Amino acid sequence: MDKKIIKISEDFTKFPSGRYKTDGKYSGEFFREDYLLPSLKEYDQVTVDIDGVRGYGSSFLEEAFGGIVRGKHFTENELKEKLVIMCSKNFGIYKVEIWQYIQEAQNELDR
Amino acid sequence: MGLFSLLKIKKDKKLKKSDDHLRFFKFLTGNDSDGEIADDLMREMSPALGATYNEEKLYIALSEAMTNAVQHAYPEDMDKKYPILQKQWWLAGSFNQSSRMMIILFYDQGVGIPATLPKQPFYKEIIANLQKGEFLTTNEGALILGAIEVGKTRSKKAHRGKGLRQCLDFSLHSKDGNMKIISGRGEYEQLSGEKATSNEYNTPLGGTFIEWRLKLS
Repeated sequence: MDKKIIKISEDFTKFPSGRYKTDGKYSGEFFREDYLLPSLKEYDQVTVDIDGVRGYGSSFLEEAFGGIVRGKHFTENELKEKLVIMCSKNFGIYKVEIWQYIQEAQNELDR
Repeated sequence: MGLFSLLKIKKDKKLKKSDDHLRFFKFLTGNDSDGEIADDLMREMSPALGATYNEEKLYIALSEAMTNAVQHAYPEDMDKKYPILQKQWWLAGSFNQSSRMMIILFYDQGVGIPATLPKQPFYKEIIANLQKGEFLTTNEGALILGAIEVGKTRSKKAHRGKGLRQCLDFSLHSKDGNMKIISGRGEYEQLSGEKATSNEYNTPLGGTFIEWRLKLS
């Protein structure tokens, strides 16, 4: 099984902010399009280490992760197989939030 | 606060020095959602306080305020009666050593939150909630309050509308934390431990102003 680890604070930025690429240089859309999706398409399993950044606004997280399902790239069930969110206890709230956005995006599509 | 250097004005040496207990942090400005600028403010401010505060929540609040300003505050059909700097926002802070009061200010020159709401997918929810609460749905202060309230429950329904709520989270998660928004003609205020209030002015502000006020230990 081919695996890939993306550590956001080192591979992307310590300062994620904004939803769309037009909002700012480290937006959720930029992370999804240029980091997360290419890895999800190439590898069987992708681990995203979300620790080490200043914080995550809902706009960034929703667009980065919920946007995968909304854009019909992968379903929630496929992501459950392929995507691992790794974090310390302090950032556990973001892990919950990410899976919530993925689920909500799937629910919206299924409606 | 760095106002003179921001405007490139040579400071008059005769100007009286401000209160020694009061420390101002320099104005910061930008035209995108730039987390590094939020970090710049915190890196300058935090060592001067002699106390801790929830930096993560402040980062998120500022990030969402910037994102709101860039995404919604300056629509293309905006009435440009007065000159504006497109997508620009300003950020500043102060700390009073005597009262232990930390203040963070954020401002944009946009159309104001109430004017942006009718275009949002959750506008109907806001209006329905205001009607249930017997608020006037045209009152701009009530509209801001309604938008923040919708953000509380919104995560289970759709993917937008939480940003404003996250601006409030910083003060809600801080002991003695308060937040005030003046936007368009509306005012929203959340004082620590009290119910949020709203108000409407006769004259619009000309943008959105957010103030976070925290009493540190």
